[in-house]
Amino acid sequence: MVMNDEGQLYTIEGITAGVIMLVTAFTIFNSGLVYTPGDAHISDMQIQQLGYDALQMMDTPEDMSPMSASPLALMIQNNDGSGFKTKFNEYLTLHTGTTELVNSLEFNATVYNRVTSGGGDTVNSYVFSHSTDSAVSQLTREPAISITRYVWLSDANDLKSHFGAAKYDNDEQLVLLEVLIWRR
Amino acid sequence: MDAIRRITDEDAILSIDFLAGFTIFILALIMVISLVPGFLAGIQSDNIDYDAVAYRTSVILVEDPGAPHNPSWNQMGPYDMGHKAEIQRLGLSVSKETPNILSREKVDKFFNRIPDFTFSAEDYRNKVIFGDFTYLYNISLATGGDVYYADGGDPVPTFQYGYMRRLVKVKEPSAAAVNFSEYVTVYTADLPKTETDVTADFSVWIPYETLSNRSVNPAYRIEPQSERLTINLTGMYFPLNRSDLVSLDFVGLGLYRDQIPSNVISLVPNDDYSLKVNGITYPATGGVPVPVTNSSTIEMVLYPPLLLSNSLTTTLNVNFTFSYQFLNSNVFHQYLSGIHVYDYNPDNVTQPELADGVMEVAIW
Amino acid sequence: MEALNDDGQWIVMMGFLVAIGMFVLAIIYSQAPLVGQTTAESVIEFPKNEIQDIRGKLVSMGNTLPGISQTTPNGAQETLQNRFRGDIALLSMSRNNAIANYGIDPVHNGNYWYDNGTYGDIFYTYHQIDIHYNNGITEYTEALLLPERN
Repeated sequence: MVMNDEGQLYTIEGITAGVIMLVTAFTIFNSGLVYTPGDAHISDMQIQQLGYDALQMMDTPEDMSPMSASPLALMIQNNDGSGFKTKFNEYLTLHTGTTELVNSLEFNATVYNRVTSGGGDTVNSYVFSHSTDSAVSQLTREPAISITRYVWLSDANDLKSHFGAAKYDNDEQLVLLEVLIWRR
Repeated sequence: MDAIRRITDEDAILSIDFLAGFTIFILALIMVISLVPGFLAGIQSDNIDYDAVAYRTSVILVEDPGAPHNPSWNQMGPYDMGHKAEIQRLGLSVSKETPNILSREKVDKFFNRIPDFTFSAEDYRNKVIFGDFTYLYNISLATGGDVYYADGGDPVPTFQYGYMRRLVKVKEPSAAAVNFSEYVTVYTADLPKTETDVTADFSVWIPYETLSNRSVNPAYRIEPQSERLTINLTGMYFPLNRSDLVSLDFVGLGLYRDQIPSNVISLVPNDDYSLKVNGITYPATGGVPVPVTNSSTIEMVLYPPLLLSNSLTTTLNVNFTFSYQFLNSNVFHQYLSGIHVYDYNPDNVTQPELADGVMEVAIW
Repeated sequence: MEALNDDGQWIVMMGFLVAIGMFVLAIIYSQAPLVGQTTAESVIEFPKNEIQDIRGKLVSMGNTLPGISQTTPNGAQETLQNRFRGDIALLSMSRNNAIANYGIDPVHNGNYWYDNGTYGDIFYTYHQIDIHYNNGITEYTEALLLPERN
């Protein structure tokens, strides 16, 4: 009897094709070769909004008494870095109690001001304040978020005498307070 | 050779072999195709969405004055729920120019602290949270030592929720605290020696023109159209000569406009005003005269929108009527009289103050 | 076998095609998270806070700059305004990489404080301040009308 295997032609082709597809499918679905989305930057957004809210709260005078300067402007005019640290920390940890607050934010505040004395137009900066553990946490911290706020200084006389007229050259000016915030 | 010729014969006869092979292929194909949607399901997730919704909700609540804004949505009558459907967005901010500064009136209405004007969970979903999905929420505001929660919220789960925390300032309305001990010679008038009794008014003058000044920052503006005005009278005995006075009674109060006594405005209790003498509610007219003592307090609150406050040039006089009985001694008798101005002078009126607060929004 | 009978090879080809198609799909899918922007990233990118800051400063400074009469022309007022504009322009460029500028009504060619007002009604004169902000991604322009009581 002759082994006639002509009838196995299409069957084998079909089985082969099926096996190829199934093996591919399972290889793909089981493979670990998936790019994970990584950080969705949600906590960055939350920190940025919170930090800006805190600066805005500090920059709003409590009432409209004539020439009422904002607490933030007064802090900068008096170069009160520790007062800023206390108040800013207080605002960052304000909560209603519905969720548990994890107090893990550190910050670093710098003041930038414009200097025109001598005919130039340059930006001068100095460190204004920082949180207690900001230096220690530099080693393992997450990337920092930067928030800025213009502060209207109505009387920068003290700063002029402190830093010198070359660094602070006008009584009344707008300065930029830049705060970097990060999680420990 | 015969077999080969037979297979290439195109007589439309399908061999079993072909059918078997094709069937197996098709089955495998169907299995694979049905696996693909499950494969793509991994990309569809609504976890990231929660934070976006929480952020948007917090922006609507904290930075948006709401819609309708002019007149503000919280002016839809304190007890008029019929207009609730006209509210499109519940924003708590005082105005568009003052984000993060919330109006106390709107905060009270939003958190259902005004009786008879309440929002349900469905209202919150349609007017604050938006979106097709039925989100669960927990909205809370802590200010001045109190914590308010939006009705219909649920306790926050331990994980997988969107969250936003915003810092705010709540604008507390102004109040005129008239302590007569500070105005001993200012707010008194003399009665001729021959008379022994008199019924006289002490007036608080509310000039809308001065108050509704748009060049004042909305965060500090006294806005009779959208904020309540409070008048507190204390120490009414101080400027008076007590040895001379037999009795001093508070009779009632009246309102008239433009300093013309005949332009009397009728008051609807609880709708327009609230009057409390020594902490007990008292009607503006028709009440039994209440004796006034050293420690009496009269507190009057005018609810927004103040009567006629939409007319910029109108002024309002709030008259507190007292009746006096004096001894028939031959001296000048003093009674309370004068006009206290409700304006932006911090000596006259405690100006609107901004109190710190924090709002947390959780969505899941 | 005299000749390989490859009649049925189209079935295998189909199978191969499907397999290759799945591979391509998987590659595209796996790169999807890399492309595009999450909601949080687009929130961070939009300079809402910076614009609100500038607007808020102009609204509050416009009415409370101390010691300056708002009806008389004064060279000092103009100098002060120029100082503020220069401060904002330089600081926003150097720290925020944005062009921020505001101008006072050019029609009257005067400073804000002297301007009799572009618009007015019975009670108020409105001073117009044009705000320009551009950080390369977002551009914001506004004509802010500050009311001054007559």
